[in-house]
Amino acid sequence: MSRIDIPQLTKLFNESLILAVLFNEKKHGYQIALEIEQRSDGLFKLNHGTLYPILHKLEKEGHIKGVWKQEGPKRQRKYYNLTAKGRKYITGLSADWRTFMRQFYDIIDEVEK
Amino acid sequence: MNPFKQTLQNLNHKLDLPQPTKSRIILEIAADLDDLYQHYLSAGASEQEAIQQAADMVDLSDEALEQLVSVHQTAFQKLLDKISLQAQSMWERTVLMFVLVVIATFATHAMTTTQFFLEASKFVWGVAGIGVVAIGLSIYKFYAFYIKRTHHTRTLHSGLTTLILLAGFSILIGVMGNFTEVFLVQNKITFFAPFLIILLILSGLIPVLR
Repeated sequence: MSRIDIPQLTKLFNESLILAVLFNEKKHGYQIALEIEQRSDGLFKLNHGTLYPILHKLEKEGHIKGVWKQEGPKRQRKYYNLTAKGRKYITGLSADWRTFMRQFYDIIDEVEK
Repeated sequence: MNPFKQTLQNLNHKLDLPQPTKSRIILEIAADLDDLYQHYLSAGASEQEAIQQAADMVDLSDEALEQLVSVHQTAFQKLLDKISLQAQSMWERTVLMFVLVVIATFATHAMTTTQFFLEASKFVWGVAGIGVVAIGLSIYKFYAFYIKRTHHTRTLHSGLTTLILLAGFSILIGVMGNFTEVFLVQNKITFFAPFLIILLILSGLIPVLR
């Protein structure tokens, strides 16, 4: 069953982007927002005000794990890792998005025919 | 001086979460603010523009703050939020009183039936009374810290002076009781001393007389 719920579309969209950029390596909040922006050529801009509640929610749900690292004498950074649960979740979500988009294009494509 | 001091202070003020959780969130945001500031500076913004743009970027809306608070709240805190402050306070007091009455009942029963306490000095009751007050206060602090999880500075400090004073009083009563009992025993010894000496001499003489 698809996890894509229309009223929750924006939330799921942001969650998917965050989990996807964490798929290969751990990153901190700033790097996550920057990578999403760069990889989408500036189309998806994730405001940090939106980013933190999602990151903390995903961490609480066990999809990601935050690890504090000392950077320099005065600075600490929180890096996020994708957990096994999160890896499974984003893999499923990715498939759901594909189905969702295919169905969307099936309807939209009518316009161009 | 940190150029984001004001932004972080506002955030600290707005986030209604236990202090350790709040501090970790602020620490995380502060590090991102620094990076954003450097990013805008390297993109050609002036120092003031970079500060403003970075602060705008991490500006948490009321909705975002609510979500962040909600993520970190325990189920118990969420339940408490649904109860009005007045009802909450009444409910907390009632539960605390109930727990104290149960403890006091068991303790009184144990103390009035155990031989050790029946033969104890009257000063013990003073120390026990202080102990009951200290236990009540400790239960309340435990509830606030570990169940309700309110770590506001005011909550952290409240009651600590009372606990220290109670500990001081209990030591004072204990020491006073000790000296008083020793004094009383000494008086008894002084009164019975001649008889004891005679008894000792007699007990020593018995083998000689034999």
